[in-house]
Parts: sequence; structure tokens; C-alpha cells
Amino acid sequence: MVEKFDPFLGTNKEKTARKYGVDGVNFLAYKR
Amino acid sequence: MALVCPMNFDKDKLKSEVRLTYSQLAGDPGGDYHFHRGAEYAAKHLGYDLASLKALPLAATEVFCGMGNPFKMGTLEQGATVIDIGSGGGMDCLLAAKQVGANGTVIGIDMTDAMLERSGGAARAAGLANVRFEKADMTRLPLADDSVDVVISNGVINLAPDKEAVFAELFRVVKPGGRLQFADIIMKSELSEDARNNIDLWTG
Repeated sequence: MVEKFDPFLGTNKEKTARKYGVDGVNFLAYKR
Repeated sequence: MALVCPMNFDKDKLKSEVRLTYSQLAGDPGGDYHFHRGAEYAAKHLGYDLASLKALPLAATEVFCGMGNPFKMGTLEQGATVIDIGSGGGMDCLLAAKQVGANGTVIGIDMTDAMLERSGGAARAAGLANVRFEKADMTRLPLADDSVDVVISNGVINLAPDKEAVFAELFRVVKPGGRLQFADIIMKSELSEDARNNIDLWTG
């Protein structure tokens, strides 16, 4: 299960993050 | 997506640079960094409850620089054993400690001495006896196999040069039926070799 967001929005790394295609995600995974 | 570094990448230098950045943050939370930090940022951008954060020691919240909110993926159960990979100032650990209650245990894992001092002090100031902090590398956790109910982490695993080793270690310590519940960054496409060799892009 994954939920996306933009962790660099408004920071001085926003441009670099967009250039390299960075996404923020919240992950949920279970061990069987 | 690459989970490991190029072969000639200086992993020790990366660790050292990461440790330096977060040591600096621990000593000077108001300094100039590329990342947002603090309780107001966590509440406004990441969905944390501001009142809950204001109830925590400033020592924990003022250096919080997570990039997501692992708690959005579910509340931690009472009595659970939880570890936080890259616990930093301890904010997420203190929140976790309140969720799991007196019969639960929260263990913050960090490699930076200055952050461990901060988080330990914050836990004592908060009066939370069910949380402790351990100095360790996330690929070599001081924990038994199948001993953890939930792993949380917030913007840390991306800093590891060998993510396969990190996930293998997390798999080892999590109980069957347990879970990973964490926030981090991912790349939408494969990076060039040159980009992956650029240590500045790793540390920010």
C-alpha cells in the first residue's frame, strides 16, 4: 500500500528533486 | 530501480557525510539546511496533530525532518514492540510510545551520537519509560529474529547505500504478521551512473 506526496515542496531542493523525479511515499507492507 | 550503489561508490564517506549533517542539525536546529523541520512543518505539510507535537519536548520536535508520516498508515497497537529506523531527535518514537502504552516497547535506532543524546533526553523529559534509543547501523540491528511487531521510519532508508541489506535486516527482525510502516522518497526513473556516484545528491 503506497500513498504519494511531495517532500521537497517549498525547499531549496525542490528544483533538484523535480529534475531527478523524486516522489515521497508512505509505505505499508506486511511480513507473511 | 537501483537498490545498491555503483561498485566504486565510497559508502563510508556517504555514512560519514550523513552523520555530519545530522550531527550539525542536532547541535544547531536553526541552521541552514535543505529540508523543512519542526512541529509546525510536520503538522502543516505531513498531517501530524500539532497539539500532540506541542505536548512533546522541544528537543525532539525542533530537529524533526521527516518527509512523510508513518502514522498515517495505521495506529500502533497497545503492547506492540516498535522500532524506528533513523530515530533522530525521537519525535516519532515518543508518539509511538504513547500509542503502544506501558506494555509496549519502542526502540529508536540511530547512528549519530548527538541525535541519540537528544532523543534520550527528550524521552526522559517526556517521562516515557517504554522507549529507548540504541546506536546501530540499520543493516546490523541489535535485535533478535522475529522480535518486532512494527518498523517505522521517516525519510531515512533512502540514505542507505545498500537498501537490499536494510530490507533483509528488517525482514529478519520483524515477526511473521508484523509490518513495515514507513515514509521515504523514491525515484520515478532510473538514475544515471554519474548521478548515482554524486555524493551530494545522496546527502542533499
